Amino acid sequence: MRGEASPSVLMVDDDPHVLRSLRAALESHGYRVRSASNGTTALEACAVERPDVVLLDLALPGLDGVEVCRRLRSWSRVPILVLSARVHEGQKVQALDAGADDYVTKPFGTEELLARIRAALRRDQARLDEEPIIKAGGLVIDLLARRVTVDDKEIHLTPTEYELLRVLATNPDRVLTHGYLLRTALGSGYEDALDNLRTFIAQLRRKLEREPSRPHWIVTEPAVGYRFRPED
Amino acid sequence: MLRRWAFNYAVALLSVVVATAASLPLYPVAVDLPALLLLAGVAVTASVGGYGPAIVSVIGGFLALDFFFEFPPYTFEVTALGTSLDLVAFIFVAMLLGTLNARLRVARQRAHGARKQAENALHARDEALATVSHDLRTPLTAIKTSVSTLRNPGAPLSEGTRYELLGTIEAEADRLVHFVSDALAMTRLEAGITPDRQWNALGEIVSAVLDRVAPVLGERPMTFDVPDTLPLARFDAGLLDQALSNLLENIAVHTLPGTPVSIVGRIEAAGVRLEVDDAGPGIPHSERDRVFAKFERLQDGGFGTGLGLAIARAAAEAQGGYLHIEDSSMGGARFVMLVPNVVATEVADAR
Repeated sequence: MRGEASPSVLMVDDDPHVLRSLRAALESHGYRVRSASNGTTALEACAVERPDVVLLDLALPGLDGVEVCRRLRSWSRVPILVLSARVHEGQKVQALDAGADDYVTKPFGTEELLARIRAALRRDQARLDEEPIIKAGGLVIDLLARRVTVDDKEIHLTPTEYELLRVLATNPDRVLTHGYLLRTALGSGYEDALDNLRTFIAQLRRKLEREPSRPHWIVTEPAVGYRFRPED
Repeated sequence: MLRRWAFNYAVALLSVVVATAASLPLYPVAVDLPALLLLAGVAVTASVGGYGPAIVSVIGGFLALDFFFEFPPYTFEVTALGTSLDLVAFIFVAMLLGTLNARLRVARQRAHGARKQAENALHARDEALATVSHDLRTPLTAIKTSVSTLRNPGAPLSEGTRYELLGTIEAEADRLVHFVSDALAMTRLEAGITPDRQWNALGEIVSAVLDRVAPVLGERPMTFDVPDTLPLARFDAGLLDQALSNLLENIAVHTLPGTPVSIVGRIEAAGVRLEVDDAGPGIPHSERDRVFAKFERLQDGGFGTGLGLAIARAAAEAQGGYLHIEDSSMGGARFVMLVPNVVATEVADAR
């Protein structure tokens, strides 16, 4: 990315064995790899090296992963992929709320990790390209005309429903937490209104989805949030 | 039991006879001796046999005292106030000791029960430990052996063999991961967690779980009946997800590929209700509690960690619900899960 041949990855983990095996996996797939073993050096490395994607372990000594996310987000839009062990479920949601893009649960397979990195890079590229029309199978969202069609049939959405769909669809394959959706799509006064969010999502699905009770595009992440699935 | 009972009453009668016989020759010199000895007899009887025998020794003692030692002798006439007071004293001692005895017996039984329970727990722990160490050792052995062979082969390895060994390492590592995650999940649930109850739409959670376990369930035809028009309910979605995923993974292991599975979800007055039916072999009545025990595998197979159903039930119970098994109209097992819909919590907290 950024004009260079191979994208660069910054790995942040305090375990040398994990770093070593990740480095081998990533380098063999053509990535340039830098590593940091704690939060402070990770932030410095981000400022100096400007990586294309950050792999961030949450359980770090000193500055924890969630705080690293928060500080990094205050000045950078680099995609952050959180690596979390299952015992830190709560931290995972906190990290997403703090601006992380996605998470992979440890231990993971190399294939899965590579797929997530590719998706994160694609999203970043799409953001730079600023494509005004989002196409996902039969669903087309024209961001300029604020027009939504499914299988060429126009769908009439209320302003809140449209905003919710826009926020989801402009972040394809990314888990958006309940808190994030409430803040960005529903706006002030709705921060705690999870029941309202559920109702809006249900309405949106009934208008868009071919089978609303088994949704295809707007996917639920139980106890975390929602995700837009772009492929058909 | 009967022998014990007979023995107690024999003690009661014997105490009266012995006390009377011992007092008779000495009575003219020691006038208080009969009463004291008979009282001692009541005490012994009460502490050995409890209330019933004690009452017998009280009556026997009182009659003996009245008959042999009170004026007029060798009649049952009660003339002196002293004799009546003796009776009161007898009854008092009998009651007191009888009560103490009863308490002692309860305490002893409790101690016995506690010891039995501790022994059972220890036994269960030993068995669990044996299973755990077996389940950990087997994949570790396979991994170690494969790695050593790859590093120091006796003879050059063919490409096929290398590929096979690497496959073994990956599969066994996956097995370890599965096992350790399950063990951690179980430990977390057993340690006790506070449910995080939020407004949820049941259908979308069940649907998400189904999407996630679809690769495990494979070609099984699915009937999905959780309408998206159900009202919202307040429950812990993470725990419901955990219970349902483990349940479905268990069904995938114990039913044949291609057999149908059905999920019905409703919001009822009693709470959030899920019924998961399969067309597998079913689970006999006698096994319906055992299958939820940790490390319990009905058929001894290499599949599963033996923790799936234990986790499912613990996750349902962690938010005050239950999970049990019934007969399914589809021929297999029906798992019924109900978790409370705690709508009123905020009101209660605010007070």
